[in-house]
Amino acid sequence: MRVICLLMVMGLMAVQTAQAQQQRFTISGFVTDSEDGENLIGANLYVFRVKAGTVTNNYGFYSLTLPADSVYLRVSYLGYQTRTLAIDLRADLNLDIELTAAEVRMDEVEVVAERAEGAIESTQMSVVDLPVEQVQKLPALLGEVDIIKAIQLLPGVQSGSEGSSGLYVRGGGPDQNLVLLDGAPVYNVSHVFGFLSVFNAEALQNVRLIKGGFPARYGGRLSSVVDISMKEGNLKTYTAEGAVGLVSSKLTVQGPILKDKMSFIVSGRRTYIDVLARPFVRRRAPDGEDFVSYFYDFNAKLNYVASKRSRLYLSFYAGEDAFGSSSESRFRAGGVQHRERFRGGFDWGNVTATLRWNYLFSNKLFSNTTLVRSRYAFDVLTRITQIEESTPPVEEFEEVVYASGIDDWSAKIDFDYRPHPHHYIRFGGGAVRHAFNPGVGTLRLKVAQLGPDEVKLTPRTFPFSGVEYALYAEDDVRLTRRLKANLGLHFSGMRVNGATYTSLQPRLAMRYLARPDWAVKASFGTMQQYLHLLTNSGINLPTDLWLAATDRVRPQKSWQAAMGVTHTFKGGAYEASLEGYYKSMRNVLEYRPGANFVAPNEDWQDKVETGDAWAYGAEIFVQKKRGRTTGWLGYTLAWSKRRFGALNEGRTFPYRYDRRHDVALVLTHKLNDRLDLGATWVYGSGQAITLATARFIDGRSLDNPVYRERLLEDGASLPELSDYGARNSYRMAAYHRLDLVLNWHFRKAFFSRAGESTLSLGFYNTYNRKNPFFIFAARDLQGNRVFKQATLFPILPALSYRFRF
Amino acid sequence: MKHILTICLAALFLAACETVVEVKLPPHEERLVVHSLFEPDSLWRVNVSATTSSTGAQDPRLIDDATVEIWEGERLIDRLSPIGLGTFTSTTSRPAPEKMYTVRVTAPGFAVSEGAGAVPPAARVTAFEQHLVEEIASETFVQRTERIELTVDDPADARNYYGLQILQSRRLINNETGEITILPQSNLRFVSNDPALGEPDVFGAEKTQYKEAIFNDDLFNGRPHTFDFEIEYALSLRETEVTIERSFLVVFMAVSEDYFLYGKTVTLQNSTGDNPFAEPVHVHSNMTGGLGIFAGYRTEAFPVKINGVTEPRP
Repeated sequence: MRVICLLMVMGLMAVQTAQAQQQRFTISGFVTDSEDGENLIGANLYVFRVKAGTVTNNYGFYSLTLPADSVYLRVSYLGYQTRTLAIDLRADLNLDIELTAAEVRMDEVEVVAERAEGAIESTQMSVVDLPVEQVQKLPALLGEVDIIKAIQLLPGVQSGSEGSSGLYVRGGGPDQNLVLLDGAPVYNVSHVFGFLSVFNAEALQNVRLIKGGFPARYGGRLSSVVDISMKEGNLKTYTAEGAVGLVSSKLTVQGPILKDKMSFIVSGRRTYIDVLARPFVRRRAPDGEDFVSYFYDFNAKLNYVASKRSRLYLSFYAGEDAFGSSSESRFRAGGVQHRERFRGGFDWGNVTATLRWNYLFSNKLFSNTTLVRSRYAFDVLTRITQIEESTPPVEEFEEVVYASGIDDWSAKIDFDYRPHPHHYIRFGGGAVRHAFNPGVGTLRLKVAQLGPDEVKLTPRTFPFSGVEYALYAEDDVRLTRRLKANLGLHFSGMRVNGATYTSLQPRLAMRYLARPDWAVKASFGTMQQYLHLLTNSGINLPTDLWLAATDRVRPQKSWQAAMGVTHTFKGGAYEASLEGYYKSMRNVLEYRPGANFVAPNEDWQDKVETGDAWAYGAEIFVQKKRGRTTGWLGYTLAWSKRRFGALNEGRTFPYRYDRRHDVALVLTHKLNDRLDLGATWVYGSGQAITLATARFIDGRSLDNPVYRERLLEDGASLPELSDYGARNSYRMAAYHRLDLVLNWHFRKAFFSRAGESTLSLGFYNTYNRKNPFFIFAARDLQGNRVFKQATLFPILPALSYRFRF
Repeated sequence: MKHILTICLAALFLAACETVVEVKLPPHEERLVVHSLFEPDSLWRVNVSATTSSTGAQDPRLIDDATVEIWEGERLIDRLSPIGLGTFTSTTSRPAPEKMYTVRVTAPGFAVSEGAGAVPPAARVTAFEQHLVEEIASETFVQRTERIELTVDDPADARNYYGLQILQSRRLINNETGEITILPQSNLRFVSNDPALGEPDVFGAEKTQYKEAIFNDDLFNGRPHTFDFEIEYALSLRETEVTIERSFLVVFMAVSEDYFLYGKTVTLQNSTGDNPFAEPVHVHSNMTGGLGIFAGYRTEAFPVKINGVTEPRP
């Protein structure tokens, strides 16, 4: 009898164990910063025993389905102390996890990208996460910390010209990058012609660059996605931080409106060069001449935790650059005093607003609904006013305004669904209404006693709109213990000017775990871009025009394949990756030679040529993530080519930014608790340029009797023309420079006993390298014709003071 | 706006430091440069010079010891004679309209250079009218603005190319000595807002100022089109030491495609030459073995009436 009972008990236990082994439960929740309640994006959650893990999404949400059992859940995030939680999983569990920041100046701070497990585990390749705190430690031009300049230090990314904010990613152009700020596209990321970007680092939480292997949820651009998230606002306490620098100052204030429920963050930055220079300008210009030269950024965000399931965010950004001058003069004519005022200038800027709603349908299904408005505008104004100071006074004016820009309204919804530990499914869709203003001029006149008259110039291209839409679905699936894949499909289309363009884009990424610390990855994907950017110079002029594809200038297309290997060693302190890629692009644009990009009377389609492009290369990226010295070394070996039927006689030529070798060495060394040193050394092979190889006489001058007589009299030189070699067949000298910064940390702010502050002193281009900006033909002191190289930045000081309390 | 952008670019340039750099150009091989814009009303005339390296002190040189031949098919029409300064002319022959000619130039030490071209059919100018728009008079001079309307009937069979310029001739008469000085003919600028003339003003101005307009028939292909433009000039009323006699000629040209492309690219290269960020412009050439242009054109000339009197054509 006892034996029978024992057998029955054992049988019941076996059944229960079997059932338990088959039962799975889901842990879900948010990972946040313990100090301010900020959601942590991309935090890693991993259970070693079952080799299962996940990462938090863009809103800090995670969901992980595990076998019912006792588990140790390891939660990690760069710059934060790792936590290991013992969980007895017997039912679905909602678990919000707080992580505490590692003391930034005291501890070993990780530098770039994911932790070891993340990089090895993830199927995604060609992606880098930049921690904003680390960027703030690096040397910067004139002391202005800049996210875009930091991205330019990564392998596969080039900056274009000296001081530019352009991103040339794997042979692509600056128009092929989708730059998102809290989900809103930013169409012009440049202040001061590209010397600085529009992103105020103080207001940012996370920056992610994707260069290839694009997941299906991204689309609309060929070369990269720069996904930038703003801070959400401290839910627990009020803080203020700011910086004073040589060029601008900034202040950020954040705090709870309702503790743990609702928070805000407001951040502003403005330059003051115009304020400082104005007294000098006015002293030298008694006619009341004035000038305007400034830029500003303003970021604001509201964050509302409506419930455990529901969360609302409202983000806003506005920024502007303005340059101009005004003057006034007086004169007497016909016995009457007159005044003449001139005002002229141009300004450009972005405004974005994002409303997002996160909703948890269940512990496995998360949704995000987003409404976005994004506007970029560029205006030029000249106004001349004449006032005859008679009784009554008579005023006449002539005003010309040229305006261009793009205005987006969009809505989209995204779902994260984790039905099974081996599947992470994302799907969603959205639509954008683009309103294009490709350049319209308006003339207003007021002449003598007549009313104002407004005449619109007759452009060949009128304002118009189009709707772009997309649907996607992707599944990150574990196929075997070693093999994971991300399989996705992105469908997009655009309807504009009565035409419809569509594209079905497959996306595939795979990761094979050769060993626990070695991962082999591969990816393939196609992209289509419906917007074109007309840009006509090597520096970021605000005159760039955003336009939609047409039947003559069709959407740009690309496909990209990449393969690589990632390895971590020394316990994750080092991470190295080697990646090779090949990218093919069609319908890329180049301006026709001499095209006038400003003239509104010309159809822009007549000014451009479309052609093919391709780029290939290899990138090595080695990071040291722990220790007193941290940093990274990036090396890119790359080729980038173009071919247009109507340019260079149809022959293939190197892309302007075809730089064979690109190196970036970035180091931060902690000298002691109060001092750390930052250094950046960059090297790039010479940029490709077109040079005149010969000169010849302008034959029309020989038909002109005036010139012929001069020849007879004194052998004067005749007007000459130039003959150019093949397009981009010459190279400027290599570019390299060293930037250094010393950061001195204090335990209080200068004007307060509380808080903390950092004084940064450094140099840009420390050894004063005369790097080429452009080459031009000129004469030397002996009168010989030579080529001269212009250099933009010599050694420049960098000084800033950052404070926080 | 072009000026504002130029100022900003100039500010950048002023901030820049300049150094001479050595650029390894391939050894320069001289090539012949042939220049001939021919019309039926003039004798054959060809200018010959040579290229030179874009660096160094040497100027491009004129070639006087070349052999310049004009062919029509397999038939040699003329061998031109040098008159100095790299110029070769005919004493007897002129190009005939709508016939294809080839120029062949040889010179010691140079590869043979050849090019082909023809005089296009004449433009069909069907009307020419002149209207006084404004006259401002003082004791010593009168300033006039005249509007000119010129109607052309464009044939639909092919793409056509045209040119428009206003030639100004001036005679200076010394009232004391009677000495007459004839100044060289020059272009008088004219203004128009007709997009068919091409090259609109960069920004803002309702009307574009032209020295010479070269354009195609894209905007009026196969139908009549009236070109509407204005000129300004001043006439001296009171006799001083010198009397200036002026006359103006509106010249409407039918040009060949090569002429059109050459004119456009020369203008573009000259306008973008100072901008280091603009893509360089290749000057169009239809000469093989060398550079240059061999292209034909035809003119219709219309004198401008002054004081109600048509000045004789200079």
